[in-house]
Amino acid sequence: MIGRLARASLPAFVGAAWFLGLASANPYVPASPDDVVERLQPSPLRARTGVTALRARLASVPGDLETATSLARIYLDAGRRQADERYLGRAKAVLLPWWDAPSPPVAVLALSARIREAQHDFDGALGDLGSVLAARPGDPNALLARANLLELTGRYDEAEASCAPVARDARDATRLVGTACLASINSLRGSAEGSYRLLQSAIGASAPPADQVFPQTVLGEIALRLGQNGTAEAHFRRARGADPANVYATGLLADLLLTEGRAGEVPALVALSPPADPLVMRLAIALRTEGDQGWRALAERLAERFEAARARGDRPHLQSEARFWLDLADNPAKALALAEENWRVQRTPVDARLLVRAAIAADVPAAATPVANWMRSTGLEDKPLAQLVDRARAS
Amino acid sequence: MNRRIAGLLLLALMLQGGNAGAHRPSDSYLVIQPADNGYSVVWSIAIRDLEDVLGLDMDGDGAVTWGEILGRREAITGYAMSRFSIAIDRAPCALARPDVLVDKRADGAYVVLGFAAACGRAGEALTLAYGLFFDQDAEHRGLLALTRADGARMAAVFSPSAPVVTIPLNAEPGMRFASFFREGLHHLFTGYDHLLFLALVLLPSVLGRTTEGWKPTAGFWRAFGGSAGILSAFTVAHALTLTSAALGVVMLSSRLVECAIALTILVTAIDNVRPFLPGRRWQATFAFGLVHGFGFAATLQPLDLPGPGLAMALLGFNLGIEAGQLLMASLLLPVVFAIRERPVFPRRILPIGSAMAGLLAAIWFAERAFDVRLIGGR
Repeated sequence: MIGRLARASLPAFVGAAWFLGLASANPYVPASPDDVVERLQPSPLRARTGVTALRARLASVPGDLETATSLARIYLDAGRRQADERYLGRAKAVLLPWWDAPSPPVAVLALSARIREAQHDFDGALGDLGSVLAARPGDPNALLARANLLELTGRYDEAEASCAPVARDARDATRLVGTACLASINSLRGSAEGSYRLLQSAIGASAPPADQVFPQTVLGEIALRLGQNGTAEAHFRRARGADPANVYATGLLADLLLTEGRAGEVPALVALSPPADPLVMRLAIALRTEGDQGWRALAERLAERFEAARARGDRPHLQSEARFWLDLADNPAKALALAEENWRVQRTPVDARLLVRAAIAADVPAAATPVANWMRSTGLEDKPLAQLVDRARAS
Repeated sequence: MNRRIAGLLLLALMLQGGNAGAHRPSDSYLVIQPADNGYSVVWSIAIRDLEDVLGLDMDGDGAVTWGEILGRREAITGYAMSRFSIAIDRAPCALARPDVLVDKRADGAYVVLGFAAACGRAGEALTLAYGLFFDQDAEHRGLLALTRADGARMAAVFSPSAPVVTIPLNAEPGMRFASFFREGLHHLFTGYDHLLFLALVLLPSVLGRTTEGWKPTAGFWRAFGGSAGILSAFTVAHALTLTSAALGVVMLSSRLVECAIALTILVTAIDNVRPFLPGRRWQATFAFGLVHGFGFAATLQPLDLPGPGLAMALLGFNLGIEAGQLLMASLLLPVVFAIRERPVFPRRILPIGSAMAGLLAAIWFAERAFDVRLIGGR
């Protein structure tokens, strides 16, 4: 409530916790002109690719929708590949002429949905996707994106309705993703094994690797919940094999290694991936488990990022922050408060496990009750979660 | 939070949810402090952002050297300085030619521009206008930390929708106080459980506990003192916990707090019907007030609080709650005073009213503790 108030009536003013950190800048004059002050990541902006030409064309013909959406799409894809949030703002800047229009073009809405979701504005993203689908009723990308958001927020019936048409698509690759979407949802409400078998047979042997990333990840998640860690690991590794930069699958695999007491394998796994925050977090936890003091620097970096996001007025990444306070900052009470807040926004088994772990660590077992009720009402089969809930009950 | 979405069909279909930021979104940092004849400004701008606009890496080897920065010094300062201005009461400050330095931060290296802004320090308001990178990056932000001549520290964020920040130079942070005061008032009146608790402790505040149950306190002023004491105990207690929670000193599970609040109402209701709590009534009220303070703070996430004038904001919020309480007390107490000597008050009104409140609290407790929905409402 105060957050809303502060933003509404005092938009520019934010927390001053970062004031000190900010003021503690320590500028210097490098000793020699040859000193390298910054190493740049590869960027589509510098590579002499079509981007330069697109930017030039947009500069000479501002408001050219085709050019703008092509450029925005390139930025968003680059941002995803490199796990770099900066590209969200670049994409948005390119789309700005249409951003606040009463009814933006469909091509813009499809991209703004991606940006909004990335910024955790789930309602905004769902609104955009609704408009896209009103104009293009069967658009599989929009249907899948919407299904994912609905699943994330626990609206399974609507999610299923959204991916069902995709699972009947004439194209093999599209149908496979639609099937994975259905399997993912139904595995959360009482038919884990059936969903697993269905998806497993849909993949078959022939699907090209790029089409396998999402289905393999779903299979891995289901196997994990069924308590079959070995099978889950194989699926996660197959997903990563098809897309080594995939942060989500890498994160799942890292978590699996952490729960199996194989923290020592995490650094090598993460080393090959983009330095995304979620992976930095897993690495820090792994190093800590292994007694490597390097974890402290990583934890500080994460803390600084959370603080910076709050200072900017961005939506906080509640799940990450809760896990940070639980696993790295040893403040279970704070972790629990954040995990509860997160549970109001998103409801995946991962969020559920986090909430129960925080409840146990904070010694407030009653805080796990919403998860226990949720499990009962959805029929979720999740052995690790069920064990956690039992532990919470016993304590 | 990292949730996959099935995005582009023919590409790899896994798409990292948006928070994948190894590199957080683009920010620049402005630290402004009072100096002789105006202010001194230290402005840190990410080298990778400048690179994308100005092309600093002249030899294209992916490494930006100090020599390359010096070589583009005019381009950098010209680009940045044309996108920033300070004025006092609309009279622009003269910005000196900046010194150029570099700084390493957690997310990469920054060019640091240090310069003086000459404009005196007196006037009604300081107006800062910022437009760096906004045309390139709609999520770029300028984070400002400014120390006023009187030592007050202000923080603000420049964004495309708020490119101008005005900082009053003398004015009080009265606006913040007022808005948080309203927020406190609003919070009290929309939180039925706080109101119910207050009613439960105020009802018998004009009575005294005896072995035969509640008896009217003799004399108006003694009864009045009893009510005032109860109200003060509650106030002091919740101000304590509200403040410590808002400052992030203590953070409790909201569920725990909500349950505990329902319990305080239930226990107080039972005590009204059949006194059993040890000690004086104000002592119990104080203890319960500690619990309610956490409830007030629940909506007041610590980091959401604006830093500058934090004290004013907290004071405003606290006093807003107080004002709400006094209002509530001034409506309830005259009635209670009028009927306190009538036998029907301790015999009927107090126990029946309390029993109903206790029942409601028991339902709330069950709902909150077991996450079930028994009745509507909170």
